[in-house]
Amino acid sequence: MLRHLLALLFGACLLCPPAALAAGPDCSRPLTLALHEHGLLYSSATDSGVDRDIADALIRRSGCKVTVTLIQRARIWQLIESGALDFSLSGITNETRDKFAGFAWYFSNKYYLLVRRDAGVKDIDDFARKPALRLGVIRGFRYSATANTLVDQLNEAQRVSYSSGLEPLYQLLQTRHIEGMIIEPFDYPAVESSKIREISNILEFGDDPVPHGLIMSKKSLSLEEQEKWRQLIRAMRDDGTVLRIFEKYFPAELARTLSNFKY
Amino acid sequence: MLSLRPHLPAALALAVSLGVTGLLWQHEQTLAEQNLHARFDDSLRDTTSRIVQRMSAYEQMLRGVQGYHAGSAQIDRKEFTAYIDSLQLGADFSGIQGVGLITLTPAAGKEALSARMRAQGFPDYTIKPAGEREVYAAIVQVEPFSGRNLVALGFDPYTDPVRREAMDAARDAGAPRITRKLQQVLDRQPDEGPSFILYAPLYRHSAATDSVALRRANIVGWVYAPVRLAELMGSLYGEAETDVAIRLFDGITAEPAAQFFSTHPDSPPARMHTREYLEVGGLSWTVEARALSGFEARFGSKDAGIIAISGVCLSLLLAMLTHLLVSARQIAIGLAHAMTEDLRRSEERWKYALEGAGDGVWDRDLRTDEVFYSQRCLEIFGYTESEIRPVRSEWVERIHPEDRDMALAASYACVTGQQDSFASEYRLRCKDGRWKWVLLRGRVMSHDADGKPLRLIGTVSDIDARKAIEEQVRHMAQHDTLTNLPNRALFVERQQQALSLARRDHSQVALLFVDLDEFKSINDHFGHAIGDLLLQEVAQRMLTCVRESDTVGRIGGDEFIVLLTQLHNAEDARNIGEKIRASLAEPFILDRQTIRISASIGIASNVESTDDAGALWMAADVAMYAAKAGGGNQIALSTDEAASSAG
Repeated sequence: MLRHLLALLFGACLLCPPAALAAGPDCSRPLTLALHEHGLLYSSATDSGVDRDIADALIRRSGCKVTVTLIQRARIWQLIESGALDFSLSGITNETRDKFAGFAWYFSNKYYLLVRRDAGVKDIDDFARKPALRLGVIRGFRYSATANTLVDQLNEAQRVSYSSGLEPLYQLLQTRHIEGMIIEPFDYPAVESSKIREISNILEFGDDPVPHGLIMSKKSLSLEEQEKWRQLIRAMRDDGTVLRIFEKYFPAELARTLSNFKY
Repeated sequence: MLSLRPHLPAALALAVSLGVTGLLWQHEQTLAEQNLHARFDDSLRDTTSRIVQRMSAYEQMLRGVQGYHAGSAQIDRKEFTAYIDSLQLGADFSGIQGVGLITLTPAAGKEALSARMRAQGFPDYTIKPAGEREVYAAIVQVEPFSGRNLVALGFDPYTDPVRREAMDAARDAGAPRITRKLQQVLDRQPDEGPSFILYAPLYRHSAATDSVALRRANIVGWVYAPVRLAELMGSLYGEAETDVAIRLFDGITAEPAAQFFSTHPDSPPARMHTREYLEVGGLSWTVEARALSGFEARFGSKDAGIIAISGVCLSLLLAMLTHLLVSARQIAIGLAHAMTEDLRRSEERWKYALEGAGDGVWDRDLRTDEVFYSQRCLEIFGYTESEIRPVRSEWVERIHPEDRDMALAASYACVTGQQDSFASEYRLRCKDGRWKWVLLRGRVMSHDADGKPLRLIGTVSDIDARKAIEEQVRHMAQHDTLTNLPNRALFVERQQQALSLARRDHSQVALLFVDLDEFKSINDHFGHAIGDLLLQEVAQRMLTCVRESDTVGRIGGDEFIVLLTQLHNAEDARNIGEKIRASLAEPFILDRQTIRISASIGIASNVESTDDAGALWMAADVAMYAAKAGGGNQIALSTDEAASSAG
């Protein structure tokens, strides 16, 4: 009787569809993934951060050979669009990016305006109204709707200073070259350094949290492949991998807030 | 004070069009400025992108050496030379002066290092600067090993704080890091402009480097590459915008001391300038761009100026046109006013003239037969405007039937062009049913292109009074004013007609001469007034004695004449004569006086005497004298003997 049952189970397994056996992504060629310097997302000084861990977990699960490099954000988008780069992390979408990139969300967060206290700014609109105030942003970055509006408005008025990374912006803020910059929760450690905290306030944009995720080049990855990578990210969310990675860098509550969202 | 009102529209048009021009100009200026800034920003972004890519290439090259080191337990000098040669540091790595290896050696290993270097063919190898230190980070190999790189061998960059900062940063990060600005790479090198050195850490073979502490513990040396900014930047700008001055600074402030490089060292401060900040090899750089005069000249839009000039010209043109139009309109209005005034006066004059004369005016549209009747026109017949439809039939049906054909023929002759104008007199039926004489005058006033008449305009005059007077005058000319009997002229006319008729019909006509006997004595006795009354009464009695077709006339003081027509025979005339004689023989009561008279009557007829009017007249006269000669109060025929003998 037992032998019959085992034979039946074995037969059923043979009939399982390939998908049920978790067919992974195509690893027939080396893939490329770019990180960018951004607070707790990734720091080249320590070669660590959320994105580093996400990348490692993703690579491990996929079984593919993936070359990880550090590239500036603005260039990452160009490479993704051209197909020269397969992946990047912590990307947010917009209408333009949707045309050349696919996304697999793994966290979402709000945007904040870090503003010098001596600028006398009460709210976001107040910042826009004061023509002497300059905003520092990272070239190639987009934010939530209200933040994007502010950046575009100030850019038109020649009130935006662009940088390739966050560090110059912190320096510019401290030296009064700019009065405000847009930050995200993973920039908190830098903001909480005494020098920045003493001179600044944080204002909320009031938009809904914006999802961030794995960026996939539509030019280099087929829709089927993108979906397979999306499944991997989903599995990492479902089994708590993503939450654990965030908990490594953030307080538990903030980690949950960031990684627990509906997408 | 001159009125400004006529100039107001032109001024308004000028103000509005200038306003619109201003707005367009401002809009175009803003757009042009935005486009210029966008182009300028593109230029800067392009520059920063090139710098970043170049720096990435440098880092990648050093990572290659790192990888080479990681894969070998010990780097062989010749293999390293061959490896660097194979990199072919050409144009893509412009600015790199060479690639070198630094070995980190504790003080205890210093002499061994020197000895090893000497054994490898560098007999003069010494670590520079000299002196006792805890660790030595001496350069042990530089490729290409020629020229100024020769002096680098043995140099310990760890002794220079600036270099050491970068080396420590690279060690801790496990990634390439750069130094701050260095004026000279090596002390003995001539000043060839600012440089920096890129360091990448080398760790002990197969050692863990997961943490800063492990990295510090396992560092064994560095690979480095000095870079001259002038060459780096120079090789970037082959295709770059020549009208934009680029300056590169170490750090986030554009201070002269921190300046790495400038494409235009003498460029003046510019209206359009911007800075972008780079995170390079763990440090911040500032790239500053200034638009030179040529940039705005090349890319600045001239459309705003064109819009302004053409807008002003068009505005002036529009104002002039408006002024002309308004002036022309005002002139036209003035002219129209003057013409209208002339016309009104003319119409008033005509109206006054026509209606003053009592005439009405009518205007007939020959295509539709609609007619305009002036108020006076209708008043003549006792109508008002609402009672008469403005059509011709209303008029025609009121023409007297006897006059209608003549009236229509007259206007028809005019309409058909047989005569220029027409005038006809006829009777029209008034509202109260009376007939009234009118004089209608008309003339065709306009024709179409084919010469076909379009309008017939004319007047209507009330000639009823005139007609009455004419009738009265005519009556007076033909009748005796005392007795109202036909006078000699009318009588002769009727006699002629009667004789003509009698000749045609072979009928008999008789002429009776009646002379009152002794009338002169009545005048003398009773006076002329009674005499006149008597004559009137005689006339009345004679009229009662004849038929309607007969004529009684008075041809002199007491002489009457009677024309009898359609007689059957001579006796008929005698009978009538007798009737007259008898009637006159009856006494007359005049002014309460009884007067008796008698009459002598002579009769001649065309049958018995002659049908010649004069001869007949004479015959009757002769017969009358015969009767008078016979004692009066009797009748004598021209055929009687006495009358014949008297003749």
